[in-house]
Amino acid sequence: MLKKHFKSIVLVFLVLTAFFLASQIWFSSYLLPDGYNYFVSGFQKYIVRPITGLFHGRMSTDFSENFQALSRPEKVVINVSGERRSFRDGQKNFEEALRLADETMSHFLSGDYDVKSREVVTMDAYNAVLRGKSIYVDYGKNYDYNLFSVSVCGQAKNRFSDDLSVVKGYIISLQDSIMNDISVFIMDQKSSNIYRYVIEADKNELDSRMATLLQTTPADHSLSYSFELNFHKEQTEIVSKVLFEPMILMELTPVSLAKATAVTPGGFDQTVDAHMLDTVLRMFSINTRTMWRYMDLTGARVFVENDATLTLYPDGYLEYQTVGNGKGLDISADKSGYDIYAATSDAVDFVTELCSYMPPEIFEHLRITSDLTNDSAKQGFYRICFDYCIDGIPVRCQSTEGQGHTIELEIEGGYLKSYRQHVTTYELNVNETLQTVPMLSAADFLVDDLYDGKTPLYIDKLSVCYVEKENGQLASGWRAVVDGREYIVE
Amino acid sequence: MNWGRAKNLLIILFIITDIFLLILLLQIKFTASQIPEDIIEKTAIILQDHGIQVQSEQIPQKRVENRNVIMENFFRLPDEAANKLLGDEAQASVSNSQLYEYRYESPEGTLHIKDSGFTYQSKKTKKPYEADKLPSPEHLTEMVLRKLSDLGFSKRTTVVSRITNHDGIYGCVVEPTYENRKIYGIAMHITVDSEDILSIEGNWFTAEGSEAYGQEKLLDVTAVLTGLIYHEGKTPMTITDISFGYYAADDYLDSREIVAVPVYVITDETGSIHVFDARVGTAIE
Repeated sequence: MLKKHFKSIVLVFLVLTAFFLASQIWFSSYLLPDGYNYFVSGFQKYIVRPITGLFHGRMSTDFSENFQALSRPEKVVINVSGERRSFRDGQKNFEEALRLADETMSHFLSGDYDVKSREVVTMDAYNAVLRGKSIYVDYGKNYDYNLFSVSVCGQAKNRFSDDLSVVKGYIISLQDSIMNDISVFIMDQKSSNIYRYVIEADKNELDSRMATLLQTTPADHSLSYSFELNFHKEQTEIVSKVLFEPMILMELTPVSLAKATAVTPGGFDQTVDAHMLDTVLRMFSINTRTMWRYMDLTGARVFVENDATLTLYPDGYLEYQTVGNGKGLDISADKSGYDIYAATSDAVDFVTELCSYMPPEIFEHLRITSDLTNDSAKQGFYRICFDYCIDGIPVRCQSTEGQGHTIELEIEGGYLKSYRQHVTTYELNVNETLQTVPMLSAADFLVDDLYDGKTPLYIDKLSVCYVEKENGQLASGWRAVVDGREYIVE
Repeated sequence: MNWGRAKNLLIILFIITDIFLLILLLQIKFTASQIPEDIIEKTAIILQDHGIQVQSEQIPQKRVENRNVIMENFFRLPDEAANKLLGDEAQASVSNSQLYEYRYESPEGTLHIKDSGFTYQSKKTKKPYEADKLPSPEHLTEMVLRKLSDLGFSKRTTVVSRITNHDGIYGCVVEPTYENRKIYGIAMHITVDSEDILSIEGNWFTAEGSEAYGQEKLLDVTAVLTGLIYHEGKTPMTITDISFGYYAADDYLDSREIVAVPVYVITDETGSIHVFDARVGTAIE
């Protein structure tokens, strides 16, 4: 039997040997400089990533699409006939509430609605609108108007660019007219001018959708703006130790949050896999051919290039820092007239690409939480921060310098000077809840720490946040901005 | 068609093909591992024309694989290291993990570990070599390596050099090696008497393995040598030795783990060594 098939076996063996030798010549020659990696990286780039991209649609390469995902409003407040509901990202009906506001605003900015009149109104008039039938969209941070416009309608420039330069939010008002008109109120944070634009739109449809939304949303405890409680101005009969920005929504009872724990993915500690490490090094232009590398006494892995170091800390921090007079990492294609718009665009593109190599839930939960405005004092220098948000609530990470953001970038003139990211995801335990201290107690803590006995503290912002502890557990806290500085109260 | 004859024909054809492919593969491998002789000769001529004397036979012809050596700090676990050097009776008098400073003492001696290095001091009474019983370098090397082995250092991966004698007390430098190639930048300075090691000072890392970068070739030594003519202060020079080794930068010796990179080491007529990064050809000062 064996003898009968001997020639066939020899022939098969010789054919296989020819294939083996040819493959050895192929891979050891200059035909494929990367050898088998050519196929591995090609497979990752052209097959795996596009397929995973289908399931995580936000990770596109389009700036405006990614920016819209990263710059969602902090809250949407709907007021109808004395009833008020506040919707936070991740909460029931938030998407519908945001769609309601976004659709109107998008048509308004794109020029689909005719502007019947435009006037400058007072702060009192602006505040009064919030008591009537209205939708208030609060981004929680200042935006350069061009960026705001991109996040709402996908276009940077439009007919309102002359009026507005820095925007924090807007109000759509449906009151005070029997006509089918609605009013859009926007405050320019730079000039403090408040503009009212009366536009011709389908008021009735908006009205009915708002009513439906309120009916399907469970009633919350009573929510009041600080101006409604007179917390925004000094009182004549008593000494005011603290004042609140008029639009802060006062939570008079403790806020309940879902319990959560940090889950550091095995990506950036000691078990980092070679492919991901290569990708990260490539993203930061660390040349594996010329770099120096060591592990310090804390176990952090340090990669040193001529002008920069990249460090992977065992607790999941990734840090890139230029050293000496290093220019930094070139992340911008066009550096002429470099402004916050270009810096944000570069930052979003960079973060999107880097996060595409990490667990997808990281990018899905990221939100930009720093102001995106031009700073005349530091022309060309921009610090942009991203936070991991659980149900719209940002998580502040413990670091040696205190509570830090999930991602902090510093860009100067189109060059990335520093980058720091806490690479982790969080696991929700929906069966257990955390309670914050009451909002006014948090304000009392701030007074105890900061009040000088003369000038009342002015709280620009006071919102709920998570604070990650060293053991990975998340505690509840309040994020306060007082006189331009941020404080975390637990 | 006669299928049996066709098979015979195919077998012969594939045997010829396989032989051809095998020869081609071996030729590629051989060519990739050697610098052509004419390049070496031309390099020697160019260097001589620029005042650098070197014989073509001194230039290594074999190409070296690009690989980094991963080195682990011998003192990353201070208590364990103290027990090795001082025995089980070692007691810590200072133990500060924040500053990374540790002091140990035992009847055998003292050990001081800092992030910048370590110092070991024996408590034994000095017994210098008598003038008429001075050891040969080989004997002293063998004795130093044996004693280091007793203290927990591997004698197979160390090399002893620069032996000096001061009234019967010998000094030497011990450096680590990896696959018989010296690792520059890491060293222990040792003093010995006729019986034992008296003191050790310096840094010590042990090679834990290597990582090869097969697809990223090192520069040929001829390219690095040619680059010498553009280096200020390197001419005129007479090259006495060219070798390949690894280098750990002293800036990173306060680490738990470092990576020693491949280097070419050129020794001149004065005994000075010039180290060049074999990956990019830059001089390491």
